[in-house]
Amino acid sequence: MDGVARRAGFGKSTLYLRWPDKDALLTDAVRVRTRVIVEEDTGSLAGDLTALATSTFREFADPEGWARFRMVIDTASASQSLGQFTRELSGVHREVIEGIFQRARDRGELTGQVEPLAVTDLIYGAGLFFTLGRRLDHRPVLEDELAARVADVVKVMLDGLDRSTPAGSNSSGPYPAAGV
Amino acid sequence: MSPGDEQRRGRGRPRTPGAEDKILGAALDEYGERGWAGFTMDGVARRAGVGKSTVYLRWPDKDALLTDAVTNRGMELTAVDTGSFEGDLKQLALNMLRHFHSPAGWAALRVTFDCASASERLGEFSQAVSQVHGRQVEQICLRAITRGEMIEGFPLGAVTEAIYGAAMVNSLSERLEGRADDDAAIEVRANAVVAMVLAGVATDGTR
Repeated sequence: MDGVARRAGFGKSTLYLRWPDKDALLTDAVRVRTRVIVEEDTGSLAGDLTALATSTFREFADPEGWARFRMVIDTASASQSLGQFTRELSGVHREVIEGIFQRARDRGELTGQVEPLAVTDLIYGAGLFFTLGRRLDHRPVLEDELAARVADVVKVMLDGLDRSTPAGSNSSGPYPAAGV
Repeated sequence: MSPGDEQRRGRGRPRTPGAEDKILGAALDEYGERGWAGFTMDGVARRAGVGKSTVYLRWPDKDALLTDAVTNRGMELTAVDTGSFEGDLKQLALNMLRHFHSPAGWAALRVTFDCASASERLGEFSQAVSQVHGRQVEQICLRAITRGEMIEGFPLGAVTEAIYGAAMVNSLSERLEGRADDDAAIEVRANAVVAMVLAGVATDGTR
């Protein structure tokens, strides 16, 4: 693991210097996430989802955010108990997404039943996969690229893949053939 | 095994039926525990219950072994063709969820995250990792466009990426929450994500 740490952007020692133990790190992670994913009322469902997705994508793209994520993965792999951390995290996520949907219902933008966890799976998954692809290819995450991908994800959620949606309305510009 | 197979598979393949899968599985487990630096052919052989020479006969070094280990199941998981866009997406989501919920799939995921976290390529195998994801799943969208089931001009990767990523996040949250989803629960989760991707959540969605 020393070899990996030496070559990695974030060595284990760096992590442990910043956070004395796993609990401190993960609690910090929840705090940061809570701060980042503010319940922001932009006035529209599209705006709210864009704000949520943007902050999520930024968290993964940020080297420190990625380091936090790695720590969560390692802990999850070790089958260690993360009860409190997990409850806090999923509580925050559910609260934010349900707030967004409630506002959308109040505005009449949303009538159907929505599974909040499916929405968070989608947003987090897309953010994770996006960052994963960039990192595997050793390409930096550019801000306009991130914004374009967020727009794609929100569009998937809002419009579905309705054939009646005008083709060419996609604003993302050239899309890398590899997808990731 | 026919002589042709023998030729194609190369002379060094393990003759024991199932030995190869066992070794590839052991490689992922070994990597999951020890990472790249602590990964040894010796450890893999011990874990697989085969002789070291059996491993070396087939794979010259740990890089070659890991390349095969991470690509072993990737292609069969994403090679879905059910004849409809909805069917393909559901099958893909289900395959990925089941995969990430399995020990081998989780280990493969950890290999991927390690590669993505290293400031330089850990070995040739990291290139294989980056290629497992991507291209093949886009075929699903290309077929759907040909059939008129998916709008044109929409970024192909965004759809499959969302499903693939959702499967990752879901299996992560399962582990964190200490849940042990059965196959029925996995299917419900897969269908929820696919339904949203297909229909969208807005009132002007397709359904």
